[in-house]
Amino acid sequence: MLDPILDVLFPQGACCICRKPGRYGCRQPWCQECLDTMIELQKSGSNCERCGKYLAEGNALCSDCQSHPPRFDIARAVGPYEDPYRIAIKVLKFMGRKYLASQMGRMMAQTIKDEPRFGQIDLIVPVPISKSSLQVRGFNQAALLARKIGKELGIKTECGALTRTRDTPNQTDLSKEERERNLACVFQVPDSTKVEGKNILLVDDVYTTGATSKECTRALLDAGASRVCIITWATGRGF
Amino acid sequence: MWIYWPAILLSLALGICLAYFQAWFWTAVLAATAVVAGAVRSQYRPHLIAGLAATVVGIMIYSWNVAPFPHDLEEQPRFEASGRIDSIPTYDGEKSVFLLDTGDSSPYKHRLRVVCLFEADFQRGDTVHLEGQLKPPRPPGNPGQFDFQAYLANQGIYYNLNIKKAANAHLLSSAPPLISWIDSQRSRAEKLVRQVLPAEEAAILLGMIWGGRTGIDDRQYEDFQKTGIVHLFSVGGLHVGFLLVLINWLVSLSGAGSKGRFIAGVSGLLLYGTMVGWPPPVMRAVLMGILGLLAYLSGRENGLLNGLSLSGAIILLVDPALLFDLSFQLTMLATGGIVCLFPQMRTLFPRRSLLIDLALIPISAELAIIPLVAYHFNILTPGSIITNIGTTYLSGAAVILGFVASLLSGVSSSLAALFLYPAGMFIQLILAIVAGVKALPGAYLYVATPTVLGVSLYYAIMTLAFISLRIEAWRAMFRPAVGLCFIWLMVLVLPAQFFNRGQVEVVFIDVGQGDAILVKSPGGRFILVDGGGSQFFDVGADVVLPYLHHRGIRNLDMVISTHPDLDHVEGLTKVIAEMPVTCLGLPASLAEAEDYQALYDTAAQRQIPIVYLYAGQSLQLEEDFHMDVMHPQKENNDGDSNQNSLILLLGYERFTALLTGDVPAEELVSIGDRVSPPLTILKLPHHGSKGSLARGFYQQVKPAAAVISAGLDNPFGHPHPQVVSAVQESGARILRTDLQGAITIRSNGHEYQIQTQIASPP
Repeated sequence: MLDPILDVLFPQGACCICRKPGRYGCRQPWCQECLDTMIELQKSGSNCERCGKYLAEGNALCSDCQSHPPRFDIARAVGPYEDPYRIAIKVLKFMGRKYLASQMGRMMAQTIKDEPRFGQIDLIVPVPISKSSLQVRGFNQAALLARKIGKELGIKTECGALTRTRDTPNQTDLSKEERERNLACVFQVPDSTKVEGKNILLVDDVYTTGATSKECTRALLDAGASRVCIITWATGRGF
Repeated sequence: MWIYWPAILLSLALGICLAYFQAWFWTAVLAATAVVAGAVRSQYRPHLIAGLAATVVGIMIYSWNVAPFPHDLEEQPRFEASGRIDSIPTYDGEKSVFLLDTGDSSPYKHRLRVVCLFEADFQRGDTVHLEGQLKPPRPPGNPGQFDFQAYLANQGIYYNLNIKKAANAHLLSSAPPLISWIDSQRSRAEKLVRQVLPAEEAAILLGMIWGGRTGIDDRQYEDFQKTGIVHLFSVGGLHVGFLLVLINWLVSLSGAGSKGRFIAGVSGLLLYGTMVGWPPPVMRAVLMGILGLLAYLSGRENGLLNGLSLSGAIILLVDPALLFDLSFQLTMLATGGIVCLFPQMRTLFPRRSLLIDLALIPISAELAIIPLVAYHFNILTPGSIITNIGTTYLSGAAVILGFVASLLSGVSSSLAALFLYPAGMFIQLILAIVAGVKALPGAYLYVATPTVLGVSLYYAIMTLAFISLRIEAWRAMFRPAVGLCFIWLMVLVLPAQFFNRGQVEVVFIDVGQGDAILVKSPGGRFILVDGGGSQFFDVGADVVLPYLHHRGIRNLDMVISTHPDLDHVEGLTKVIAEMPVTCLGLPASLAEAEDYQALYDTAAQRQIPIVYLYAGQSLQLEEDFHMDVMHPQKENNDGDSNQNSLILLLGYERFTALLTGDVPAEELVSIGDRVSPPLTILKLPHHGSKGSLARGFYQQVKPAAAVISAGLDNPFGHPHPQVVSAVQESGARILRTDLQGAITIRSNGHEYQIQTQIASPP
């Protein structure tokens, strides 16, 4: 509701991705060229049927999903984790440009609408971030995206449904195994009545190895959720 | 809706200017141009509509808010007023000054500047009843002098209310509790600083924390001006930035989230703004700070230029008259310079270095305010770059320590004092840097006042240079624009000797009661005859030197004292102490006068050679410009100093001017035969006193114009009515510095023009 006012007070004079000068705002944070590149990238490969990762060779399932089928129903992303998607998420997360969440959330909601396999969704839950990250950044980017998606789809968003019990080292520099160990039993559902028997949409910014998503899925299903689907802004490429 | 705030701010300012100058013709021309441009080029239509709308808003708010300047302001010897005190009262040891909101229906008496000749025990927000003399401020007597009348009028103040006795000022009701709490916090912190630190350090620290220069020695302040760090005393961005850093750090200790930080930051800024009384730089900085915090809270990108422009637009919407307020102009331009120029200049240096940044920031600010500072203060300060590199962190540390001490002063004064000692030490370091930089050759330079058109031209070129970097199609303009800026600066630093060549000039500077006459030879030499003097203020520093600087004069070829009376010689002593002088001329017959001691001491200290002048000498200054000494004789030691006053006759082809010091009538008459009539200019001796009345002499020399240099309403009754009527009978036009301010006479040797600072009454 405040967005139009903030657009007037803080007009964005450059594309948030490539800094091309122009008139941008909440509804159009990036330029046409960057948007074209994003749309192009969406068609740059087939997606793993389960986890949505971009696959080069046209397989139906990625090697991960073949060997260890994940417990979630489906995971999808708007595009691959490459520029401009990568820059967009960095600008949102590390430069604190929260207004980007609005357009990004809208695009994530569109991805859900375009994929019938998401089915019925009852509740939207963002992946929580650690207390120390929250302290530094001041916000949880997944929660921002989740709220926007909830608004677009008209579904309730419950940001506290999933919590993080302890701070974990940053995932970025870790291998797949280390990431899984790093996250073991980190996520909890404090009030299982909120998720019991519900079809849940889990929201995160990036899906790389899926360690976070899988751990969250485990926590939600263990608490009695009937089904978990995942939407992220960007996803990795795999085999 | 997408708004480019810098353009809106400029359009708004344009509208306010159009309304201020009542330039309705140009308004129509601009509007027509915009309409035509919009019709021809449809892609510009939204810009033009937005700009036009902002201009119209500017015109309307200025016309609604500001009453036209009245020309019939009358003095009222007894005037009673009651109202609320609208500013933090200041007391400088002699008088208390504050603004009073009277609620009077006349826009000219709605707000008064109250001057109490005693320490008034009032606070901001108090309701008081006052009785005193209502008097409009005098317009400036000299060209280039600070126009206090216009300055006050711009704040909606048209009268001073002077109150002599404390018995004429009564408190009706005290300030509201919040205001009085804030002010009591401030005054308690102030008291503590004065207790803990030596007077000099305390005054400087308080000036840095709360703004203002009360208690700072005038000479010290001049040094700050010469080294370009007076901005430390007009609290602004630097302070608000430091304050925000401090608040943010304190709040982060408590672990508050972004909303908590926003609320703490905004309330801290508002509290500080109220404490210092919202001067324009604080308004600007606080608004920018709040916008920055809001952008952070809402996750928006807040360009500094956007924040600055939006803040400026908001301030002008609230008070459009601030566009003509010097401190508003300075804060907007200096910040604008840093925001626009600094990032561009930094790209010239491949290596990132703190030292380069520290130098580039003051350079960017300086480049943006050079014309404005030259216009108002006649000074150019290249040395300020060095001073600012050295003092930025020191002053920052002192200000933060001062803030912390102020906060703690309510808890424990000994704890607070612990923070004040290092602050005092930092101030000593700043003073050492200032003293060092001031002594550097070329650290500062006096320059003549540029014209308003010249100032506007500079900013137009600067804007062009900035735009050329942003718009690809205009890129070719960049180098020529920078070159033009450079040429502009070269012209600015040209010495005064370059201008008006071939013209002789005699200027009777308005020094109140006294004489100070500047003579310019056709070849560009400057001679100062007498320098005024007063028991009540420093005429040399406050009037004569500023006038010389206004003309861009950096050295005088000769300084002449006609005789050693205070109202002629005191200012001269100050001038030779400050300005390089080639030689000093004194009447030979008064060489031994005791009253010349101070002048002798200063001349010796500055190693100025002394020339003794006596009747019969003729100084051939230039081929066709000469100065003859008419009086006194070399060995004429009878009589008082007035009788031994120098009489000088200047001649340039057909132009002649007789400067007569304070000689009585007999001495004047005695030279009558040696002056060939008609005389162009006669300076009447002794401010037009009756003792110098010489009716026959006036008839004999037939002056075209007679100048009386006297103070307004002086206690001696100068000029005497008989003198005035006798001169009028002789057919001369009478020119009076007390009524007309400075009088400038220019001549090419055949014709002459007279210019008076204040228009003659009909």
